[in-house]
Amino acid sequence: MRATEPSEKTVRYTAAFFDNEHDLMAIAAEARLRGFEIQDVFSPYPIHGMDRAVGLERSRLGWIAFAAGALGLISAILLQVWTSAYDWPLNVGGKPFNSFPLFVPVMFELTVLFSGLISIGVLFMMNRLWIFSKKKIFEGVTDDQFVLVLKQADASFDTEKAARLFKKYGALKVMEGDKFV
Amino acid sequence: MAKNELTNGMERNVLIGLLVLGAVGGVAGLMSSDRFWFSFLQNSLFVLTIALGAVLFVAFKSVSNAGWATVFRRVPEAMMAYVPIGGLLLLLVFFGRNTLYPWTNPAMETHGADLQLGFKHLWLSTSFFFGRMVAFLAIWCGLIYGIRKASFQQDADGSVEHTRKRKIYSSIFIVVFGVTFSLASFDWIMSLEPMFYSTIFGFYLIAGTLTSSAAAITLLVIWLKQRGHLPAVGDKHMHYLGQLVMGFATFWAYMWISQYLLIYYANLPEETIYYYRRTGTTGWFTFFIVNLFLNWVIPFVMLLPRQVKMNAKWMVAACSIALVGHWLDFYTMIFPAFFGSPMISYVDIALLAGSIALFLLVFFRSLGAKGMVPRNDPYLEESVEHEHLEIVYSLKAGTMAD
Repeated sequence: MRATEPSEKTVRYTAAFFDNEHDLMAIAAEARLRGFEIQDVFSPYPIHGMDRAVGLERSRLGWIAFAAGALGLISAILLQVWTSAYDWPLNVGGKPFNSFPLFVPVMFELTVLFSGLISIGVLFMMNRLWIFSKKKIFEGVTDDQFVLVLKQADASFDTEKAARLFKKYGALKVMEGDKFV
Repeated sequence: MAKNELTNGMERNVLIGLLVLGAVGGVAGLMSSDRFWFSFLQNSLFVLTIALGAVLFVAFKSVSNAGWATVFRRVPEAMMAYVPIGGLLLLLVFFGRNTLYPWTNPAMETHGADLQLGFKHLWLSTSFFFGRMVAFLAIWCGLIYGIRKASFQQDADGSVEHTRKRKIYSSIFIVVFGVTFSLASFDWIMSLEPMFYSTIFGFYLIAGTLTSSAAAITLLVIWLKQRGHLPAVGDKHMHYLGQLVMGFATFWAYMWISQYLLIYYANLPEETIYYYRRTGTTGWFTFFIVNLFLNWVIPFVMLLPRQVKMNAKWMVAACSIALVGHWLDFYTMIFPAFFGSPMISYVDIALLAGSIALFLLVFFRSLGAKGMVPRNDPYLEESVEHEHLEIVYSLKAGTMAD
């Protein structure tokens, strides 16, 4: 799931903990219906349909992966044509210098390599989960906890209403805090 | 008497009409055309591999404990029912062996190919060849029977034991199929040109089989869903099916280049002759390139975006293209061995229409005879999306007919 916008330094939030994905999915959908603003949700593993329940717009990562793959493909073609046909032509097994079929494996490999590495890098940058990041999120979200985080944007946040909602879905624990992530 | 009427009278009549057309065209072709047996082999294999791919689909799912496809599992299970019938049809090739397979001619040596046959001489003898064919088909049919039976019995008594049994049959099927289908493809297609050999040929065909059966399953699921027969199939399933079609198409391309590249590299006459025949003339070269586009380039590019996989129209287009590609793949495997230039005659059309009609008739009959959803499968809840759980509960409670 996507992390907070980098521009927001401090946000008042309420976090509710659940022990299964179904409750999390249901409460996320209902919270949005009831006008709460969802800051984020956390789960130990990706949950199908969660993006719809939280109302995320489509990720742009696919375009980045596509562009990176295309870059890898073009690099592979240029690299091989230039080295084996122009810069240092070598006769290998009597084949033409510019033997397209022979370039295919490297074209494939570089496409996959560029696409994979660049999208992982961009993914970490976009959700600010860089490998060296020492940020602590919530206790247990990488283990067995499912967490819904509601944003308390302004004074209109109805604590009573939120508490009722949490109770309805059997929240295990509710906590409030500032300076989220 | 069928339990569910999946097709209305007119559709059934159209299918029967196409089947008759296929039979009439086939008989006419047998009498008058030298293409008949090649076309017969091509179209029988085209439909039979789709049915075999459906078995693999179910077997993979069962072995990997995957739950997602359970809700429409009856669709590939009904496709499997075609294998015994398609297998029997394919055995008719026995009567065309002298036209199809040059190695049946005792005078083959005189063609300048004293066949470094040796081992091949023993392997490609008529009795052994057709003995193998019967054995392969019988083994497949036996395992298919086991897989299907366990599934239907679970509907009746709900015992988890059947899931375990299906898993055992599936494991055996996957291992046996990998070996037998490889050998079968060497026999049925590669031996059309007995001098040529490529060890990856079987896997190349398995890749095509997987792509086309995933595409066929997708088309049938979409058709059934739009008729309201599979209400619990949602975006998730279409997304996964789209990924499978795209992934298998890419696997096909990988196998394609693996075969082409090694032959291109090694440049041995007995191997390059295969590609020489398929790229040497403008006509065949066009088919050669079109084949690559239909099987991989177009489906791959079309299915890249996520939304497309959940859009029925786009999926129908992409899967149809992949299926046409699979048909053309067999065409470029079989015909260039004997014909100097590509041509499509009435025999091909009639046999194609007839095979597809027969396949669909068997499919609808088999699907209609049993429940549309494996209601007692332990993976059923897991396989549907949250919003469709109600449908599953009412199916289980018996308050809703399937």
